[in-house]
Amino acid sequence: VKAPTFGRSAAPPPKTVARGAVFTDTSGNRRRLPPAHHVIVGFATLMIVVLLLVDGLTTKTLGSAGTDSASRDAPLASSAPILVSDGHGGLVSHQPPPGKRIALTFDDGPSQAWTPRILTILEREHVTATFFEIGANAVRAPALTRRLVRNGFELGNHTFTHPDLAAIPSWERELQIDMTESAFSGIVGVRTRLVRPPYASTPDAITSKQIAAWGEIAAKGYTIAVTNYDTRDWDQPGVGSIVAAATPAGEQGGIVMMHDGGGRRSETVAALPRIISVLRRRGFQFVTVSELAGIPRSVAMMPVTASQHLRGELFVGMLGVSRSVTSVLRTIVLAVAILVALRMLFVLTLAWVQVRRSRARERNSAFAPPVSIVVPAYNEAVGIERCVRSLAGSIYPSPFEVIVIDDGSTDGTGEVVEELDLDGVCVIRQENAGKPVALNVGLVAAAHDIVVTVDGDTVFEPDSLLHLVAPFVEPDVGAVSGNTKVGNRAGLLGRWQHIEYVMAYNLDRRMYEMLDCMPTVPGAIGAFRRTALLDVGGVSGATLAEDTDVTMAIGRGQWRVVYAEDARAWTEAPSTLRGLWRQRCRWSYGTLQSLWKHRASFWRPGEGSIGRRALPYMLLFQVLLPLAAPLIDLFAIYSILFLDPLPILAFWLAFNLCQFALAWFAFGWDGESRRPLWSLPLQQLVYRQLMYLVVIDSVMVALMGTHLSWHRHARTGEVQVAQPPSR
Amino acid sequence: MENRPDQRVPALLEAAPPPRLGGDEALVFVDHSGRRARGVHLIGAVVVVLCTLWLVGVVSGMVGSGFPGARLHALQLHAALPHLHPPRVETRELLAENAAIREREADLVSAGPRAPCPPASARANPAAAPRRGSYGSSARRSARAACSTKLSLHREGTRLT
Repeated sequence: VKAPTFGRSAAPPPKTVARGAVFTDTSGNRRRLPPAHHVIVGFATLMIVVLLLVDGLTTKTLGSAGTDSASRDAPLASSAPILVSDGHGGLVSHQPPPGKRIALTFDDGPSQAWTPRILTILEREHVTATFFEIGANAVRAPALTRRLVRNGFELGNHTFTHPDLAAIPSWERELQIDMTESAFSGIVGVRTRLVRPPYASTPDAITSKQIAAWGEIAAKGYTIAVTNYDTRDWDQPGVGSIVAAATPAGEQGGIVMMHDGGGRRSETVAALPRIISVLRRRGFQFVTVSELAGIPRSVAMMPVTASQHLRGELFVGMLGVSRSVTSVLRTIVLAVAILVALRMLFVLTLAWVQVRRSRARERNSAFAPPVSIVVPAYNEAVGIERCVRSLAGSIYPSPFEVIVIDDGSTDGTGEVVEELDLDGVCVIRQENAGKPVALNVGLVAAAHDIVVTVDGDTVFEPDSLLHLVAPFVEPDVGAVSGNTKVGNRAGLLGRWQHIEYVMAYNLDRRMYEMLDCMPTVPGAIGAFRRTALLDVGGVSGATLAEDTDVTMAIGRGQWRVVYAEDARAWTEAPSTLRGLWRQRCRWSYGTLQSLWKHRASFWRPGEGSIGRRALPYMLLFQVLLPLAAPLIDLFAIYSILFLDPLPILAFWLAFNLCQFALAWFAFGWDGESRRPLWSLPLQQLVYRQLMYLVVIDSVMVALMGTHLSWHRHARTGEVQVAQPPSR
Repeated sequence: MENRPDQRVPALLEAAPPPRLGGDEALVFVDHSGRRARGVHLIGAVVVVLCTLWLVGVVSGMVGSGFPGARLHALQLHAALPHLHPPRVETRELLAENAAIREREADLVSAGPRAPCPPASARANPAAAPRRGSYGSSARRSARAACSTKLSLHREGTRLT
């Protein structure tokens, strides 16, 4: 049959495609530029990775905390606490005797909770002090740092994220000091020469390893300031203990170390007025560290140049951006986790109810009207014989016809069918025009009111037809979805697809039926009331997922679409990652097209079951969640690198357990062996990533308006029909 | 055989072809003009520029200025030298002072025989030794003072390598 008017809809693709096109380079090799959307997606992913790395590096402590006390020596035991480079990589102190002068110092701030309280006390008592701030905290609370400097307090560098400088490599040490310096330059326009390394205490606690590490910093002109009196207030030893530790026994003052950040500092706040009072009574004078060292303030806190200030401001601003973006991403990840958990619960509950109802419902198995089976086939020579034989061999009490539409095959598909010479089977040939056109030709050719559509690589079980048609006993049923089974489960990829199919058909489809919003009758096995199909104008070629498109159209037309779990058809799943990628790209892009095409059902009265149930659900869980899914993986890596890895591992374990529980139920309801479930955790490593990349790719293609052609995966004909399950 | 589907299709199509067979339906999302793709490219380019700016801002902040060795040199000298007056040294002065010290040191080296240092006994005498931590103007410092500064650095400091 010639059908010259049949054809794919729309105009030809653009003439020139710069990206994605094959070209020949100067060496004569054929190459392909990556499509533009791949470049964009790759860049976006790279930027998120960089952003997370920057956020991790600039807010979290890297390297081990604390100093190895086992190998502790004390080369500086008799030294004063203010140290400079000796010019040979070591440290030396030139600090004059402090006399009755005390330098109060506060580490680990600024903290929004505690620094203002400490500042208030110091300002009230007219006591000066030196604050060794953590750069990351200063970036988070720039107003506090400005207040410190404005009110005459001294600023010291306490690194950017508080690592043990002796336990990190030289480059990171330098980075820690430089970033803090940039932050101060941007916030207050000064650079401080004073550095207090984290985990520093009194000179007698400084090890040779620390001297080597700190010596590098001092060699750049920084002054290392440790302490004479370590109050250990971070350990919250009690107000009395802090006051006692901050009070010199004799007449020699020195540096007192306390903390205004890094934890609960209520004891420090309580102890500070008492310390000031006690020291004043004993005649001590309060000075800054630089005064104690005899360094002019303008040298200890040098004003920066205009370019340094600008660079610092840029740095602080950009860190603010990365913090905000990371915060948004973190919120998204949390929302995704909550949504996924809720969805699991929701789907499981509804599917369970559907199973109970469908098992209790006795469908009239005697209902078997005459049926037309339409098989659109393009280059299906490998599997068409098994397909047609299985259809022709269906145990069905009424007449049925099998119409194979050979859509311009070049591999002799039509001839294969004709050579079978089976009763009730005929072939209609057309020029290659696409599956929707082939289905419409089949619809025109169908003699009966019930039209079953079957893919050319699908094998029916003998009673599948009967089960598939049975729901049409109810007159408001417009379409029925069968249960597609993966026929080639041998490899890991086949096994993963098998798991996915079982879960999708036994959880999602059951849920959709319960909600009366079935969005897809699969092309592999579906049945339609001819009237319903004609009501919607036949099968549309406007999308690449014609099955979803036509099912949504029927659903919008007040027809019910139901699921027949016993109507099983065995299909061949892609056996390569490339084939799977192509198939899923088409599905995903087609689903997006269908969602967009039927968006009006969201607000149109009477179309709510599709518009206000299926559409939002699909948009959320088939589009938005996969788009956000890479963030989960990236945040998992981020958490392992920069945070406590245990919670993320616990989350991962819980997620897998939930998935396993869902799969357990789905396999049980489908009568499938649960043995393949051992590969479910592995699915999270490659398969899941492939699935979300497919969605990202499809969204980009949709946004760019690129023409995506129908790619079919190569058939091998390796479809094994398992024994029907026994329930 | 007249009832076979392949035989009845032409007539059926001629009589009442389903609307979808005409192939006049536009593909959803497909924009053959390429305008949307150009828009996405433009947005992508803007994002690339913004991201690059962000990266430059972050990376530039990660490279510190440090305190050049010259300033360190001057500071250490100040910390060790005997001076009578409280500190009033600004950065510019420190740099100028440091340059002067280096110049004098260079002069001493190029002049051949080194300028005589104070006798060891004088250096060892604590009374003669400078008081640590006092500062003063550097303008009056002589080459001899510079020499003694070096010695005092080695003597008074706790040298560690």
